Amino acid sequence: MTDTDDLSPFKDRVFKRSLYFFFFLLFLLLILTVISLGSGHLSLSPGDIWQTVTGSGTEAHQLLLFQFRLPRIILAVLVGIGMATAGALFQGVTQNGLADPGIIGIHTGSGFFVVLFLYLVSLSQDQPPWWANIGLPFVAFVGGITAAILIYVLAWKEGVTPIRLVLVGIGINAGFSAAILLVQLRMSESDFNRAIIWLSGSIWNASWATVLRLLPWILLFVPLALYKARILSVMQLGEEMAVGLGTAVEKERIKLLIIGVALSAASVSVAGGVAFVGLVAPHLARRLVGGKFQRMIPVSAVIGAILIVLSDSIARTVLAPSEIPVGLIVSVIGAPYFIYLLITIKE
Amino acid sequence: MKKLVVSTLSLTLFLAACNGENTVDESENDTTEDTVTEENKETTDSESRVLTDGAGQDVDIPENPEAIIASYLEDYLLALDVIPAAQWSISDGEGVQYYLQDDLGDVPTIPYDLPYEAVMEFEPDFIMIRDQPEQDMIDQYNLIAPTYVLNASPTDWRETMREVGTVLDLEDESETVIEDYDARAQETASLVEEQADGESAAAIWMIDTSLFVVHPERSSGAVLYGDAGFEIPAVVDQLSDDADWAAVSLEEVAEMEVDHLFLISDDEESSLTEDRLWQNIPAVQNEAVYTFDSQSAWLYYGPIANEQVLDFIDGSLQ
Amino acid sequence: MSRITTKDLSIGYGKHLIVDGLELTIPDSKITCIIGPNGCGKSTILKTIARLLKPSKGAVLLDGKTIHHQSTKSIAQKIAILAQSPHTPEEMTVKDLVSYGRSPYQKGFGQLTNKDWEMIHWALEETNLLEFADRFVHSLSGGQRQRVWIAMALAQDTDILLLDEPTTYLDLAHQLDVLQVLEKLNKKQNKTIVMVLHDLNHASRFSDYLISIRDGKIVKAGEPAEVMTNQVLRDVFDIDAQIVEDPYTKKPACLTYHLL
Repeated sequence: MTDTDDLSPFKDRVFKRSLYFFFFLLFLLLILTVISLGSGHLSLSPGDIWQTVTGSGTEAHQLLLFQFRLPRIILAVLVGIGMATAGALFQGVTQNGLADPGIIGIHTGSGFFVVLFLYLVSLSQDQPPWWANIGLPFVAFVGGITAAILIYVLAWKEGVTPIRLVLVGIGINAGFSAAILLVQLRMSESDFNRAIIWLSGSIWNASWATVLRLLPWILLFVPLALYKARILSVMQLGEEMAVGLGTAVEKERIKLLIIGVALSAASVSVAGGVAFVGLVAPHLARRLVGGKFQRMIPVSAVIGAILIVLSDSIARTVLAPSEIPVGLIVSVIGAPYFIYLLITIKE
Repeated sequence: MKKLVVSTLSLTLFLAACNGENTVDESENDTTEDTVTEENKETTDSESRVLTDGAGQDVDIPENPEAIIASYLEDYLLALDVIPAAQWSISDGEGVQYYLQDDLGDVPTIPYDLPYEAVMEFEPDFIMIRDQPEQDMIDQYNLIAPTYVLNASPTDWRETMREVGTVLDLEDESETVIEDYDARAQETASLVEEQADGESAAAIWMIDTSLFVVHPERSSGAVLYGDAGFEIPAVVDQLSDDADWAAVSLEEVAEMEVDHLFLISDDEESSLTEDRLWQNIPAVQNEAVYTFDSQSAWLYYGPIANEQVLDFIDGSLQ
Repeated sequence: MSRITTKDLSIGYGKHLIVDGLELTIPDSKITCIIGPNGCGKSTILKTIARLLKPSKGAVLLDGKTIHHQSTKSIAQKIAILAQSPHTPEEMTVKDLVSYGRSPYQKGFGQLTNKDWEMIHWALEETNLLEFADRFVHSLSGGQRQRVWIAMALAQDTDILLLDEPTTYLDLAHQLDVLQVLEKLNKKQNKTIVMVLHDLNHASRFSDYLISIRDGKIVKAGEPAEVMTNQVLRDVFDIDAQIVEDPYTKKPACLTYHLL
C-alpha cells in the first residue's frame, strides 16, 4: 500500500480540473449576470448599477434593479439549475443521452395539468384561491409523474431502447400539446394568450414571489440529486454491474425519477415549456468533466443557468421593448444540437 | 481552454453590443425620468380615493393622474378627453388602433402584453388594466404605480365606460358620454326605421377565405342590432358563442338571407364573392353590401368606435 | 466450511426450470471454474450466486445466510461480480471507473476518502494500469479494458470475485494476461475466484476446482485432473477428447477432439 501523502498528486488531477471548470463557469455566470442586470429596455450603466447597489442610486433605478431585473435573473438561474439537473437525472436513469424532460413530454405533461388547473380555478371562483400559485408546482409535479409513467408503460418492450423512449416521448409530448390546446380553446381570449406565452417558455413576469415559489424545490431537490449522484454514476455501468456494486437499482431508479420530475415540474410551473436545456447542459458538462455524475451535475447546473440567463438577456434586448419568449431563444440554440445528437447517436 | 476563453469574450461583446443599441434610443427618455419620480411622491402624499378593483384589491386612486397607462382602454379615455401616456400596440408598435389615431397620433406605443420595463419607461402615475392578469403581475405593476383592474366585463362598453369614469373621478362626464351616444344612436335608429324598417343586417369579417360574424350583443354587433335597430338573422343568434366574432361558413352566411351586409375585408377581390352562394345573398343582389377595411372601428369596443360605426351605417344607407 | 454454498437451488420461470435442485459448494481461497456447453445454465448459476437473479426455489447461502435476504450493499462488500459485457460509459477515465468499486463503502455525497484512494491506487497497480489512470476507458484496447473492470472489482475489496466469461472477445495474449492477473490475485490475496470460462484448457490450467454442468446439473466437480477426463467431457460436451498433460503446467489439457 502506498503512503497517503504520495497519493495526493494521483487523486487530485481529475478533481482539480473539474473544480477549475466549475469555478470558471461560475465566474462566467457572474459576468453574464452583471451584463444582464445592465441590459434591457431601460438602460443602466455599470456606474448606475454600482450606485444603486451601494444605495445611492435613484428610486427608479432601485425599483428597476431590485424589483424587476434581479428577481428575473435569479429566476433564470434557478430555472436553469432545475432543468439542467433534471435533464442530467433523466439521461442518467434512462441511460439515454436524448432523454430531456422537455423533449420527451414531461414538461408538456406538467404544462397540461397546470393549464387545466388554471382553467378549472377560473371556472369555479371569481377570485383564484390564495394557494393557487403555491400549488402550481405541485400540480405540475403530478402532471410530470403522469407523463413519466405513460412514457414508461408505452415504451416498455422487454426493456426500453433509447430511440424507442424518445419516439414514444415525442408522441406523448404531441398528445399533451393537443390536450393543452383543447383546454386553451375553452379559455377566454386573454387567458388563451397568456397560456400561449407561458407555454412557449417565459420568465418575463418574474417577481420575488415567483422566485420564492421555485426556490424551496431547488433547495430541496438539487442537493438530493447530488446526494444520489454516485448511485446514478454506478447505474451507467448497466443494471447487473450496478447491483453487483451494491445498488438497489429498482428502488433507486424510482427515487431518481421522482427527483427529476420534481425539478423539471417546479421549473416548468414558473417558466413554462423551455425545452433543450436538460439536453444541452448535461451533454456539455460531460464533455468538460467526464461522465461521473458527482462532478457532472454541478457543472451541468451552472451551464443550465448560463444558458437561460444568456437566452433571457437576448430575449429581452433584441426586440425591446417587446419580448421574445426565452424558450424560443433556447430552442434556437438547442434544436440543432438535438438533431446533431440524433444523427450521431450509437445504437 | 483557449476556445472557451474566446467564446466567452465574443459572448460578452455580443451582449455588450445589445446593450449599446438600447442606450442610444433610451437617452431620449432620460430627461423625463427624474421629474416624474418626484411627482410620484407627491401623489402618494395627497389625499386619494380607495376603490375595490376587479382583482378584489383596494386601490388608492391618485388625484388627477397625469401619466395613465390604460392599454386597450384608450377609446374610453379619449371619450373623457384624457390622453393616455402610451397606447396599445402589437408587432413591435406596427399595429395600433388606427381608428383612434386622429387623437392618439402623437402618443407613443407600448406592447400589448405590457412588459414591466416598457411600463416603467413611461413613468406612469396610474395603471388601468382591462383583462385580469395573474396576481403576481398586478403586484409588480403596483410597484411602478397604483394599478386598477376593471370590474366591468370587457364586452359591455357602457359598464366599462361608467367604471372608467368613476375611477378617474369623471363620473358625470362618463354619463354625458353615454347620453350623447344614445342620442346620436337614436338618429341612426330613425334612419334605419325610415329606410330599412324590419330589414336584417350582419357584419361579416373576411380574412382570406375565412368568414366571421359579429356577436349580436358585442362590439359593432351591439351597435348594429341594439342601437341601430336592424333585425338579427336567425343564424347569427344560433352561432353566437363566447367569441366576439364567431367563425361562419359561406353556406351559413347565405342562409342568413340578410338585406344589408357590412363586410369588413382588406381584399378588393375574393374568390368567395365569386361563389354562386354569395351571389344569391339578397344584400348582394340589392347592392346592399358595404365594405370597410379591418382597421376601421367595426372590430373594437367603446363610445368612439361605436359612434364611428353609426356614421358608417348612416353613410351606407344614404 | 465454505462461505458460498447452494441448497436445493432451482432457477427458472414457471415450469421451465433452467437449474433444478442444485447443490454446490465453492471452495474458499481457490479458483473455481464453471464449464459446460452453451445454454447449460452456467451463467445463470453464476448470476444467481451473485444475487443478480432470484431463485425460484432453494437458496444461495453466503456465510450460512440466504443471500437474497441480505442487503445488496452488504453483499457488495463481500462479493464482487464482473458481468459478461458491462457497459462502459462514454467520457469516463480509468480512475473514475475504478473508483466506482468503492461504492459499497460510500455514504453521503460520495466523496472519496483517503482509504478509497489507496484502494484505487492499489487496484490499478495490481492490474498494471497506473500509467493509464487518466486515460479514457474507451481509448484502451480490449484487454486493457478488461483489466480496468477487474481493477474496479479489486477496488471493491471483497474476498470473493465472480467473473462471467472474462476472456471473451480478447485475443490469445490478452486472455492469458487477464487470467494471470486473476491467478496472482488468488495467490497473493487469497481471494476466492469463481468464473465461467469457455476455453477448457484455460479452465484446467488456472483453476483449482472445476465444475462441469450440463442441463443445469453438475456432471462432475473436483480437481481438474478429475474433471478433465475423456469420460466427463463425453458426458458434458458430447465430444471424444484426447487428454494430455500440459508440458508447461502439468495440468490436463485437451489436445484435440472430434464429435461423437
